[in-house]
Amino acid sequence: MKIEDQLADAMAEHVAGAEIPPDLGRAVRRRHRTRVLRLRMAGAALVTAAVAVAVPVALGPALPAGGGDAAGRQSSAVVTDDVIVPNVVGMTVAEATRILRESALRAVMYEGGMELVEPEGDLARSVVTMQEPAAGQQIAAGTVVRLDPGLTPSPDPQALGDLGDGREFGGIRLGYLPDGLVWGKWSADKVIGPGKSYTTSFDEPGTMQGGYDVQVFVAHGESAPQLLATMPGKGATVVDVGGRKAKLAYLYRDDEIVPIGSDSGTPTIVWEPRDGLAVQIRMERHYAQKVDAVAELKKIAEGIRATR
Amino acid sequence: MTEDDEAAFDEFLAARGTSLLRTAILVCGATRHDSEDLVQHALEKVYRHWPRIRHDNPEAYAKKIVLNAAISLARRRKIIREISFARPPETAADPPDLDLRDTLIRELRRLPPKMRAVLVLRYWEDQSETATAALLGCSVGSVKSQAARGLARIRANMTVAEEVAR
Repeated sequence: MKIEDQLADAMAEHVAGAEIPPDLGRAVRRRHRTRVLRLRMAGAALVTAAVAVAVPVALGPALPAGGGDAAGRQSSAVVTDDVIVPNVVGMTVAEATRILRESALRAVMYEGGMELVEPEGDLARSVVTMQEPAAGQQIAAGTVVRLDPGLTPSPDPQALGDLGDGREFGGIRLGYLPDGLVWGKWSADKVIGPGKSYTTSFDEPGTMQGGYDVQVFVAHGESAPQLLATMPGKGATVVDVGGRKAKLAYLYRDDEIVPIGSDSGTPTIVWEPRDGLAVQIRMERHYAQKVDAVAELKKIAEGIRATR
Repeated sequence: MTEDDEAAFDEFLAARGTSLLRTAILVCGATRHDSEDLVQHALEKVYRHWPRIRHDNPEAYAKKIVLNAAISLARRRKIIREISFARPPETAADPPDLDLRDTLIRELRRLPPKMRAVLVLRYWEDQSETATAALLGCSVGSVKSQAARGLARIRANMTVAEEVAR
């Protein structure tokens, strides 16, 4: 049997039990209504912004109005600025965007034939693998250049080897873990920013492979502020952890704060046990429903000590 | 949106929803819960434009959104991905007779999201190279090379795993 056939069988078996929930239609419509409401709320702000940008546009250099005679067309060809597309393949998305902007071109991230509307976070550090139009072509200023961001190299999943009970890693020691959790026997490094950073997780024995119940991230030096910045600026609850201020919130999709206790959010706490050392703890949301998530997160946080 | 549009949308969900969910699970490699969430998110976009797209291959439209969202999610949550896709711990001895299918799925999940999407579309959905390229917005050549490289990686890692088990 060829490997592609074996793979096809494995994939079929893997998803055989997955069916859409019976209330999917209702859930989709509810989500749609929520979105429409949110857009209406944002409406007023958008109108203000539109007025603000309208002024510089009106004051800017007048574009040729597409003349009807040959002279008019000729002058329009002279006035329109053409630029040579620079080569940005191999650069990070952030660099490429800046260089294109300096060349009066617009960068748009594409993937899977779709424009990526939220090119932030990880993506800014991704490397551009393809650009269109290609470098060296002469195109009009203001044209969109499509960039295909590749993947940043992934960290070694077993970076730290055997950690024993897993409680001491990356320069910290966990003094407390909720009952029943054991080390998940994996770790990764270089997970955020340019400094040293590590992560590992703890779960209940017998949890399905790939699951986690509690995950701990540690970031040193230049990585520390980046780990702190994963918590949205507003809306988190400030709690005291060993005399330092920590931010605690339930995060939906890593970046949106939802009410504490919500089953769609991941309980997350982040703080600096000492300057230049940031720790983030997150609790898997199904596990969080089984325990007093906020109290347990705080207890784990309070039990953490820096070891170096 | 007319009543007819609403009814047609429900029919579309009943007919294609499960297939979209399964594609999302395989491509994003996240938990079942996250995959459902992602499919809901994609379907909200479909619902938003439903009257316009319902007569114009809504399945391909929905699938493109699901694939794009699944690839973005897998990428955005690279750290989370590392948990789900971490190799079996080298520190604890693995049972040597690990089910072949589990091993294949684990190796599939370790691939970069776009490469994984190519394998899912080509070998699970049985899409042609041209159709896969259209769904992913890349060239046929890229589909060919990604599929070949993906299979080669899985094959190579499985060989290593077998040697370790011996």
